[in-house]
Amino acid sequence: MTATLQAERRPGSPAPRVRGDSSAPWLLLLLPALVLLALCFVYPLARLLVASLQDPVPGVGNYTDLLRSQVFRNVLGRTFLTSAIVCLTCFVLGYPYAYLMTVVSRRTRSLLLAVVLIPFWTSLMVRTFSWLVLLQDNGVINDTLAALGVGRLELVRNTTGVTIGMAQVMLPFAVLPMYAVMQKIDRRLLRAAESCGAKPVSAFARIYFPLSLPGVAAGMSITFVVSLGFFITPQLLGSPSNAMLSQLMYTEITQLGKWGYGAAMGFILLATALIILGLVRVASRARPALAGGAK
Amino acid sequence: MALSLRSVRKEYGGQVAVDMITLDIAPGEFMTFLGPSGSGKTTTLNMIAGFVQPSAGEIFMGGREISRVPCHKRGIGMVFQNYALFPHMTVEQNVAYPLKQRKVPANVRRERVSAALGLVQLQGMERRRPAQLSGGQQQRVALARALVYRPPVLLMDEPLGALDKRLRETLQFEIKRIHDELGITFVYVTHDQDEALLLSDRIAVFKDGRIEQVGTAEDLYERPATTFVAEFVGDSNVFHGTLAASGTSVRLDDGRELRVPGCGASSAGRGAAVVLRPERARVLVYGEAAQPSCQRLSGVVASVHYMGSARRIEVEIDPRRRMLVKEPADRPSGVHPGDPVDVCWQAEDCAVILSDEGHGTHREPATRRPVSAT
Repeated sequence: MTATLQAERRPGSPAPRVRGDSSAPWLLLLLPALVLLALCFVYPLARLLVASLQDPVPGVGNYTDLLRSQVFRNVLGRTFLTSAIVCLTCFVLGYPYAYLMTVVSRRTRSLLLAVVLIPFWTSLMVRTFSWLVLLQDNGVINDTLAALGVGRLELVRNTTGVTIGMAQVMLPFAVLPMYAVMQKIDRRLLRAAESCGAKPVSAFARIYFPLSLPGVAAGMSITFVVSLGFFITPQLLGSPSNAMLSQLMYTEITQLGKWGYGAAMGFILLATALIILGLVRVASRARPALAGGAK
Repeated sequence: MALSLRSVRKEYGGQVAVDMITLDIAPGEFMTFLGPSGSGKTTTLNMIAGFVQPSAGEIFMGGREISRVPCHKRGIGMVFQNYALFPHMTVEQNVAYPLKQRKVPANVRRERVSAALGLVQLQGMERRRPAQLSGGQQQRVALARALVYRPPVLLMDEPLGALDKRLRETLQFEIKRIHDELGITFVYVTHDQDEALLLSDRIAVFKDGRIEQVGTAEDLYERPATTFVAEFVGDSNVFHGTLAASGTSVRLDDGRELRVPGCGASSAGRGAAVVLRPERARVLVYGEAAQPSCQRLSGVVASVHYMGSARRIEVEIDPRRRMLVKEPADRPSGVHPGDPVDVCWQAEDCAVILSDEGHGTHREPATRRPVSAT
């Protein structure tokens, strides 16, 4: 019987889970992480929530003020837009890169992985200042462009600079989840599609790409959400006139001492991000194959 | 010819995977490529499918040279060992996929999909996804997908390799039935000799990138061209020696002489292998009378195995040689390990494989010329 059951199981599908795996004793292993999370995340978050509702006066005044404020709405909009642009940039750069990683030899793959990860291990400050050096008006890039006759471009102290800096930071977060899903896609499916009469491009678009979408969704969600909270990069590569929300919060709290106001900003950002993530999840639920289709 | 391979060769970085294969496959024929793994059978199939470019040689389909035609323009159906169903599509969408690529209108598409699912007896499963089907059902869907656009040739790469024995047998008969019903050319790759014997009109036995022999199941079994074929297709007892001057007996290394069906005195002195199928021999209790025409070798029973339909008896003739005998299991064997016995058989039940040179090269196949079967 066992043999029959195993043979009937779809090759590549996960082994059937043994019942009782998640019984109580094992949950104890989560305890240290839960304690840490409670102390360092849940507690401060709760304090902030209280502050946003108490400081300076009890009530939802901070929230209503914020939602009425044109400046806040502009900054919130800019924060989402910048994150979306970073997200898209990471997809355009990261998707082909992740795909390449699945088709090259093992050696080349390690090299490609290292190239993605080395910046990841480098200090954020160092990288951001490097960009500043490269992108400034008399930097290497602009000097080269001028020498080529293209003319100097404004690459820094604006959203362009912020996007370049943030996309570089976020690229590993986009590449790795996409690669993880892609390397599990059975490339023989492309052969099968071609044997069915599909042109290679069409086989890729109709078979491979849909199967890689869970990775794209994961990579893009991480990129987007993390981008929302960027502070150092926009602070150094952007300008006050195109500040992102974290910069506004910083100003409110450290320079104006408006804790409640800043905390309320944080909660509006958190709520909006959660709603977007929720929508992504619902969208991928609607197409169950996207969640578990790749093997 | 449905398919013709002409001196087809494939090298991977100096390593020869397929070496000068020439083969013709008739329309409507069920041709099986049989061989151990690494023998070049799958590479040859992939060259027909268009997944692999031959290094040299030509492939013709219906008279047209196709070795430079990309896979998606060849119009060949293909079934893979791992099913290769599109996991994000339903059964219906999977089967409709080739029709969509050919821009078949939706109403015709629906009809053809349902006909194809009918052919593989999967009606009612249209809305399921591959992950919700058993292995056998998935392979039926793969068959339907490969057949739905009525290709002139269907290629199958070990399609039943991932299934258990019972299911494999059921599907073997299904495949045979579908072949009979559609009358299209099937090219089937397997390493399972029973499957090959059961399904095929003709079998090409592959070894080291070459075809050792092409023939019907009976040809391969009764008249193996090389000792490799004799040993790979079914069990056999093989004795190596030299054909005696008369041409009617083979002198073995140990000096024994075995009578064989006449080979003609002109071949005398050539290396020869005598092949005896285990079910053509009988075990007689030592000293038991037999027909005088019998060839006999004396030995000691080494083991007796009851296999259900037959009994496998191993007899040690001398310390370096054991013979295998299969007897029907319906009567008691009367022999036990350690019993002295005679193994006997009729000379005309043997097959003789002559090698090109004299004795001593018997490990080489009898012919190294590419086998052409027209």
